[in-house]
Amino acid sequence: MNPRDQLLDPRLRRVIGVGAVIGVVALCLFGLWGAPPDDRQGEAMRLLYLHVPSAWLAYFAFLVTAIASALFLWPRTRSIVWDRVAGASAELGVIFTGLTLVVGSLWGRPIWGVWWAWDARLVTTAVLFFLYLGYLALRRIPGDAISTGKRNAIAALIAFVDVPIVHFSVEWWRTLHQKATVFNPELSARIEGVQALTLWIAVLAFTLVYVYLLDRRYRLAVIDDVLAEQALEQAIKIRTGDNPGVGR
Amino acid sequence: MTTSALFAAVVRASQSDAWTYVITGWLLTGAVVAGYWLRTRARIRVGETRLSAERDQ
Repeated sequence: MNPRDQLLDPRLRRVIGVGAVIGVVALCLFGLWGAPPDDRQGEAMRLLYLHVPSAWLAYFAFLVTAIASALFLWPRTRSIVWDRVAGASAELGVIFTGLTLVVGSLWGRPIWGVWWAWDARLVTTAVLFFLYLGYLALRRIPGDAISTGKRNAIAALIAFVDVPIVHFSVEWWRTLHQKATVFNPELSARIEGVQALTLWIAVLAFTLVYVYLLDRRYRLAVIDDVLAEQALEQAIKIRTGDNPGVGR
Repeated sequence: MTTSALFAAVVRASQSDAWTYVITGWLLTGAVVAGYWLRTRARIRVGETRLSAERDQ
């Protein structure tokens, strides 16, 4: 098997998969039962154990897409591997951004009293979702590997500009969405104890799930590429067989 | 343990409005991630079967 056909060593992938399952089980136990309800938010706080890691993974997935795209654009490091990694990571990023928006909306209804607010953080996150949805649509346009790879990479780097805008939106504009909590030393009500532990378990579990799914999506991209190549060869053979004049 | 925790959470959901949102969010997240994983796994299996079938020809 070509080493490019697998992103992770199968043994490492199994370890990550088992780790992800253990992490998700621990997250269910702590997030739904072990962690106490919040003093102000009550039980709705439990949605933040999904919302925060989803948002972190969305940022991380799009960062991986941007790095892989830059490596593809750089002639010395150009490889189909980076284009596949970029596409796989962007697909996961879109899923996690979608979950961030939906779970955030479910949290917003009991806490803010509304499903949606035209708030800078929410709007820029929605823009991020649609930007990368467009990027995934762009990837489906056929062409030769190098030119489509370059086109995809440029689009991914342009879309990535929105990631720091999303992150700093709560600092740049006055928003309903709260500012950074976990690493904010100025905040009087810091997250700590079992609630902080649960949040870290959630981040770890989601990261392991992301790495596992990235490897699986990469493998699928390899298979799709090989099948598409075989189908093209087959079509050329049929065509040249039907028309003896063609291909001489 | 996970089943009993989920069952306890479902029971509490019927008593508190906030739990309805919590359970909906957790079930939705689980369904999306599990659905994506199962769909990807199924597509890999179909693709590998097609590749091995074409190699055998």
